Amino acid sequence: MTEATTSSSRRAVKPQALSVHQMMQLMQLEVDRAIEHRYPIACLMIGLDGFADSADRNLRQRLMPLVFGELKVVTFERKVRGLGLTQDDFVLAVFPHVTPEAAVELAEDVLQRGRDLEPPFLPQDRPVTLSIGIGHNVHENEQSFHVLTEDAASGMKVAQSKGGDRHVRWREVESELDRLREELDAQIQEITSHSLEAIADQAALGREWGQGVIDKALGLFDRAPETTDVIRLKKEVVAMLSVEVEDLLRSPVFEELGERERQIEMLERRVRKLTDSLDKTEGELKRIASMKSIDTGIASIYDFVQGLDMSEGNAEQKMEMLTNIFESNFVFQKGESKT
Amino acid sequence: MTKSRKQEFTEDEGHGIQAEERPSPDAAQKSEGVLYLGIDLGTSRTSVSASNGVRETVASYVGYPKDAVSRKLLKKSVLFGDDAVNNRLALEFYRPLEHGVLKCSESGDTEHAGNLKAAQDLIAEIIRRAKPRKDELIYSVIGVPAQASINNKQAIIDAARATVDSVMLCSEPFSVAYGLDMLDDVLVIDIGAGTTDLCRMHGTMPEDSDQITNTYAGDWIDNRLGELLRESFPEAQFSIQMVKKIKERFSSVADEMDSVRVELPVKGKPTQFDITREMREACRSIVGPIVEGLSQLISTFDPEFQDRLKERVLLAGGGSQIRGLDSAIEREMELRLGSGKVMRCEEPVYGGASGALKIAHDMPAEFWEKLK
Repeated sequence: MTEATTSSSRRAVKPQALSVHQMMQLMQLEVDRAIEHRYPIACLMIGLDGFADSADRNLRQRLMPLVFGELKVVTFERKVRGLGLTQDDFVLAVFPHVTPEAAVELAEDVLQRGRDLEPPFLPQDRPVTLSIGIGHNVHENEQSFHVLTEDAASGMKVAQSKGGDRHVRWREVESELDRLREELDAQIQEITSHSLEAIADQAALGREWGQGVIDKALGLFDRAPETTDVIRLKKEVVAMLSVEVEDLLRSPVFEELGERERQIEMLERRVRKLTDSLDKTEGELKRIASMKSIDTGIASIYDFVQGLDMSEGNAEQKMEMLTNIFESNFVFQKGESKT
Repeated sequence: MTKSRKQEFTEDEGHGIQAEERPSPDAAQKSEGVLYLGIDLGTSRTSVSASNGVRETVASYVGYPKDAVSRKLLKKSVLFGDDAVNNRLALEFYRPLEHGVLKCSESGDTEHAGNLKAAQDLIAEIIRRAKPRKDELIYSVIGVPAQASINNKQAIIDAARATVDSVMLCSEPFSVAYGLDMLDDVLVIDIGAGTTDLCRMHGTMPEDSDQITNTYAGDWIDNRLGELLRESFPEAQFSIQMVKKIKERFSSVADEMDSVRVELPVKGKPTQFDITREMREACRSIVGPIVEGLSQLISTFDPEFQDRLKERVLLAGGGSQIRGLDSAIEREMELRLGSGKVMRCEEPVYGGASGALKIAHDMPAEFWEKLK
């Protein structure tokens, strides 16, 4: 792999290295040729995780050549031809005839070699991990050196923002964001078109529902990197959805829904009251039922049927009268004559 | 008060029912007890005397809350007696007995149905007030006006049967006489609210010819007093209920009676009135018809025993509480019939019910069984 370096100390050891500017021009020629002739070309930008402070500048300057050296080892092992340069805080390289999948494998090898770096000048509590951004001309929008390098740079920054020690292909992220945008558009349209249907399902409406929609939309960003573009996009989505939801909630339909919800709430309160009242009534009925089993009557002084005491002086006279009463009642009640 | 001997009645073909004395086979013996109820079903007041010692009386008014609001306020679905009277403005108000008969015997309209239900509820209520035990047999005798129609009797029996095991009806004045053991040569004057029943007792069961009923009774006095008050004090405001209460408190026919001073509203302002004359005149208005009935019953009696009858006139019922009424009847009998002696029943409110209780007690077991 041909390299360019800004370090002047290496001129004495190797054949005259190209300047950064020259290397850039060569790299651009490679990319242009690949685009013209439609063959794949990958672009990698490799950065150190951490070591970004000015205090770590010295360490960074000593580490970057080591990183580039590891890149060269990997390309040698993989028999990949490429052009690369080292800057203060990144390594940029292009690899013609390398497919996107091969570029990913190459990046993973580099990452592993970076993890294994343990230079003596580096404290043990400062392990080396790398972040790699990948650009590739397979994407229709990556058709110039400038775009490729920009994508590789964006990918490297995303990788670093996610904690490093990884590679990111920016176009995949952007594609994901595009997909999210499309999904959100579709959801908003669905929300709008189904808002009237959702009225029938009263449980789906209201402010709680509105927040649920926003939360759901934000959930789509869980896999997206926390870049400024992504954050901006999230804010735009939240603002847009909030406006849509507010408009819907202010609509007469939602007002009616609100009224219905209030009525439902009032009915639920009344049902609870009635239920409590019913419980109390049931309890009282049970108590009364238990009381009913208690006979509160007063017992008669007679254990059995008495009848006329025939020892009385006018017993016969009375018996005749009693018989007369019985007979008239018998005829009347039973409809039968005893005569 | 247990009995060692029982009577059994057997059917003998062609000879009707004969009474025999036989050793008691314990057929009528019930281990759960027997409660006897004597009920006096009156126009104004219904009373019960029971063999468990309970005696209760209730005014014969029934009321049902008009709507859910009144039901909630009154906390009852049906009210009786003074409760019903005091809340009558919020009630479908019934006085199911009128002139001694149920106001529901002839027609099938809504009022008829309402009065029938009220009568049945009233009977059920008075039985309930006797506090019967659930495990006891309940045998009841109900005193009804002497000339109650068959339909009236059927309605009363149907109402009672819902609660008692066996029921019999008998003449009200007869039950008064039976309770006092005055079965011979007695003229019973039972003055109620709706009717005054006169019954001639002569040792056998009174027949229709032994009984006279007229409507010169408590309600008549109330209406008459109301008329007299309107004539004398046209500015006074009063209701028939107010007049009734005044009468029950101050009724008298005596020449020398305490002044009757009452407060009646005049254009909303309570005003005192002296209604002594009006009260006396209203109460005296029933004396003539009563003595007229007495005359009829005495004059158609065996002449040999007419004087005896005149000397044993028994005044019973709520109307017997009118002060001086016994003396007034005696004076009138003196004028018309040459003589007369009137006795007051000691218990005007429970006389009929107590007599009915005694009848129930004396009724043979077999009779009760056959009417179950």
